Amino acid sequence: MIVRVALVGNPNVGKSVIFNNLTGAHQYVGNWPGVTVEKKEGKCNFDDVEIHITDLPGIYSLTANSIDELIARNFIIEEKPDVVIDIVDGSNIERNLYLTLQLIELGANVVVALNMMDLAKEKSYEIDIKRLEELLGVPIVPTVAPKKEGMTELCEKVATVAKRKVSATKIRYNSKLEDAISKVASILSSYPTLQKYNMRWLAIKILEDDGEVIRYVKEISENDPVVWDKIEDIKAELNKEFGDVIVAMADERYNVISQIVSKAVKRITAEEEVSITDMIDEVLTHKYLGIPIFLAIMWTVFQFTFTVAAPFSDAIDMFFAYTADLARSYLQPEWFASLIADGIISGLGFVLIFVPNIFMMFLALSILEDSGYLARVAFIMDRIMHKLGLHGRSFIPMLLGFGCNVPAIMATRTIENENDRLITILVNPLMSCSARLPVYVLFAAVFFSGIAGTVIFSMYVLGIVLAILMALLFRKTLFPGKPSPFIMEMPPYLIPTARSVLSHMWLRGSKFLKKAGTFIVGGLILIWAMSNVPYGAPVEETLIGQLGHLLAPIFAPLGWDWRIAVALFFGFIAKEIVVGSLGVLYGIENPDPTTLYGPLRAAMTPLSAYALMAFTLIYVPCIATLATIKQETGSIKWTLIALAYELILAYVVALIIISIGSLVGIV
Amino acid sequence: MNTRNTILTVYSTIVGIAYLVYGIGEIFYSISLNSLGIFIFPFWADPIAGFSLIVVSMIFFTAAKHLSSDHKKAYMYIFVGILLAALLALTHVSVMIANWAECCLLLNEDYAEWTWFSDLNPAIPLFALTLPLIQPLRKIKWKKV
Repeated sequence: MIVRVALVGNPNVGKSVIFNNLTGAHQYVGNWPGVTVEKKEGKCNFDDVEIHITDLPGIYSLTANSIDELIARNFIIEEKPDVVIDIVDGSNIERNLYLTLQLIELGANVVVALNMMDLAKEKSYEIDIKRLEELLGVPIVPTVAPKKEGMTELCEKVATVAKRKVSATKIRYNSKLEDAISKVASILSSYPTLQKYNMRWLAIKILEDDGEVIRYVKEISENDPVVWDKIEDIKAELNKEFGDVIVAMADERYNVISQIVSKAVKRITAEEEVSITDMIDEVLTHKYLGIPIFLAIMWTVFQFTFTVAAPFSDAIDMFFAYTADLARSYLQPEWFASLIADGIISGLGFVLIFVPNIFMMFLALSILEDSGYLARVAFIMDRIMHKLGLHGRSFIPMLLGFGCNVPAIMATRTIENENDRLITILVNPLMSCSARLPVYVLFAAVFFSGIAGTVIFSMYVLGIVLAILMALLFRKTLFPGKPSPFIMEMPPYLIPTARSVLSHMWLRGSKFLKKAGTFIVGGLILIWAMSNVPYGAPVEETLIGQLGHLLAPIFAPLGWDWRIAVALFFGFIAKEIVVGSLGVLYGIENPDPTTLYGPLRAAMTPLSAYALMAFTLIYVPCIATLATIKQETGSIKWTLIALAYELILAYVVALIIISIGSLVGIV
Repeated sequence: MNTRNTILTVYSTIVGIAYLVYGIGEIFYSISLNSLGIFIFPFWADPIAGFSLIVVSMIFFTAAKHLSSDHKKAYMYIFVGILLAALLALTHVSVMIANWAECCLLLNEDYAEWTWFSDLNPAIPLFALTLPLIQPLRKIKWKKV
């Protein structure tokens, strides 16, 4: 028997953790709302039942405002899963039951997973599960997802419910609302195409002015004026009676919830107790101290990233230098030895020595994320962001951009307002992703020894500042208007578990390794090949030399030679290739592959190196990011705008750095 | 204000002043003497490290301010101040260990003259100064969430 199950629930209640527990998948989880923005599928077996599970983005209600919410709602309505597991945060039961009531209203076959029971206990909640089951009329399984508690019971309940549909308690509104719902449902029932839906639910949604539902029903009814006039009359009557039908319905639901909670949930509070979350929030979200504290914390992240990773990077460097020497000594013919030693080993080595930096950065960011601090950053940045025309919520996708711009751009699906979302997508590539880190680490080590961590940190700050400025520019020019208000639920502070932090670090870091092993190697072999055609010719006369000299005049005002131009050109495929290309290009003339320091110091000054770091930060995003921009905006126009503005901005910023530096006498 | 709170206020202020002085000192040192190649202190000063010390000082000053009126709020600042101070100290200790590995395990020539003293950033001894403030925090009844 196959059972199709949907996992739904409010954001950040542990849906993805339960999904991973049940299916054995390694889907990304995080301690902030909006981690999942698309549906994910997996399966598990329980006795003779094969359970196909779909993890959906978090939703607060069945009214869809953003893309992720629409994905979740449409799945439940259109796909009609056999069982819907509604994951409820046991430590925040009142608010979570709002969605539960709506699912019951929809007629879904609901099983409630009452998750975070450990937190509920910490918050002194006593939940009478049996009583709650009676009141809601649906089965409830208490769970603690991170400890995998209650998972077997959950599967057992799903298997039972799939065979026999639950008869949930009917939610009744006051007589006037009930009367209106019946009238609208009766009008809709004359359309056979709508019979597959729950009429009562459709009627409620129409009365609640749900844009998507109204659009759909209008399409089916061919916008029949007789029908819609009748519906509008019913709505007008209700509005006259209640002021706002949406609020009236929400009030009714919360009344029901309040009655249920008063019967099934008790809270024993000790007034003198101080919550750690409140304590930390008082300071970390402070009006004036919040941002300086954020900057100090981010500085420690990059200090840690650079310095602690250094011995590991040096060890990898030594290994590759030794291997390249061996290849040069033992392989024949000469061109083949050169391909292996200078093309593949040196090139790959120059990329892989940054693996420790990338893993350390993800380790630090995972700790911040799992602790719950990331959501606070969005909150403290909202004041500034709002003044500059950007949505506070945009800051979470921007911070995710520190890892990779691709999932960060997809994370903008949680932003309800389309203009806010487009602005966030356009500025997201300015957030410095991990692929740029090798470039910073290399140049900071070569030119800024002693303050390398701070120089790297300055790149990330520059990225944030430019993103905010560009957002302001876009708001004033392309997307006039005010950003929508920012409401976000703060997750509790948690002590990150080693398992979760290491798994996050590996999930993100391994992508870099996969890239290094596949098309970065391919790209480096291509560069090596181009630098050896015709074979034996001086490198400046090879294909790569000719390409470099073609590009060099563009970068001449910035003080960069043709090799840098070539490296930046190939960095368009993926930014990791920039450093590897430099390794290959300088390695050709200087056969000591262990260090690029000497050749780079000879070719550049600290000022031009800093400008190059800034250019790498800003200029064209990689191909994967551009493809994601195209996918998420659905428009080639916005993709080209992103490409063009970043190229221009990168050049202008690099030129400003060089000019100001020269003016004040920095070389 | 009782004697205990007076002592706490004075001590938090002293910790705040110490962080402030070293923070300003490190910024000044990094942008003036260090950049001229003059090294008075063994460590390489960093302006953002100095800024971070000043942030910690501000947290302790705010704690001292609240101690006279709302001691619960003051404890919140002391708690986070100690956490941030610990984070900064831990970062510099990590730097020390990493540099020790470069010098003693990898025998990196760039670190040939490295000693433990080379990385003794003020954030490390200053953190020790905050430790007595843990004692009053232990008297609060905590809820974990």
